[in-house]
Amino acid sequence: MSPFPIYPGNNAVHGAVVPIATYLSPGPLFYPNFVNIPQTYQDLRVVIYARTANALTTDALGLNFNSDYGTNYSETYLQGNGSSLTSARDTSSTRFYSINIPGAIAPSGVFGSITIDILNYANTSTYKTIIAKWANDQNGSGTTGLMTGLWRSTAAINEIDNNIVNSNGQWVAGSRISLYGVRSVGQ
Amino acid sequence: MSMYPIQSIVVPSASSNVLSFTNIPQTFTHLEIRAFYANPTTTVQYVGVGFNSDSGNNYWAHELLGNGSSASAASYLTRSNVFFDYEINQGSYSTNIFSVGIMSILDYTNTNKIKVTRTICGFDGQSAGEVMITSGAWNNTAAIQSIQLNNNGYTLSAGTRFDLYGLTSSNVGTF
Repeated sequence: MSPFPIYPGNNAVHGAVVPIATYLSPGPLFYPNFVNIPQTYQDLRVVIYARTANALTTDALGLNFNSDYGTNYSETYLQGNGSSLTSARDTSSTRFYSINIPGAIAPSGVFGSITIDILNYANTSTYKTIIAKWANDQNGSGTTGLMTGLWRSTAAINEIDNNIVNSNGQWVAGSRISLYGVRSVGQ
Repeated sequence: MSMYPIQSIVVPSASSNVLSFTNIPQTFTHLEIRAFYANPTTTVQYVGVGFNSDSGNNYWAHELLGNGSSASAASYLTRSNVFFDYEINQGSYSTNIFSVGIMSILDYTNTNKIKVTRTICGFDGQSAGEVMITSGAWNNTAAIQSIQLNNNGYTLSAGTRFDLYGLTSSNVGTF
């Protein structure tokens, strides 16, 4: 069960980047999904500082929109692991899954840093393209990378599901997952 | 640091015009351009970005990119713009798909520094994709008063848009 997200009181005091909701739990965190996303911004930004409880050195974020778990996602990424640089892609996946985060075997206290930008998310005539960057530094190992992804739907994004790819994973205590709206002129 | 919207440009129909952000306020610390862009042709293009109407060969750039099967790096000397690269060619994919990019321009009002940009951009067209990070430089110390988008004159698709933001920093004095 997810803790209730924290909604700020007054968005009017902020600039272009407006906090919409944040998950921050003192205990294990399952399925921190953002629902009923306001359709009043130009772009969305998801900022994650997190770690998973799976017995892995490096785990992966599973990202879905609008509860769509069909094979409607494709992505291309560029990743460095400290000794080599690679690029790979997927053409028809049930989610975006290339973004790395530390798992339970990562050095103690290490969290991964992720920023995901979702441009023109409320547009109903275009597919949705995202661009993300991540830092998963583990003192000599780990990865850092960039990805771009396509969700082949023209629907406005009103829900973002932040899952963990491997098993039925959970986010560890202290993981923070925040959603922001980015206003353009006149919004 | 706070970010504020300054200007937006939306392309209502396919156009090869140069688009400009003009009279940029000199009151912010940094600038950011968020781009949603495509071209209707069958060839991948790029969006050239110039400053203060300088279209001379006063720019340079480096890039690190991944195309889904390999990673590579390149440099570009004495060119006429920095850029948002990998403008998806909708003629070969779908008119529903756009590239995205975010360009950061730091300390844009400083008159002692050459202006350096940092951009992440790319697209995924399902059957192919590109993602990259680039650095670019305008070899000029003038404060940036205007920005020319598409100064290379390729055709931009309807629905392309560029949003300019100003970023502030706290006033903590000098060191």
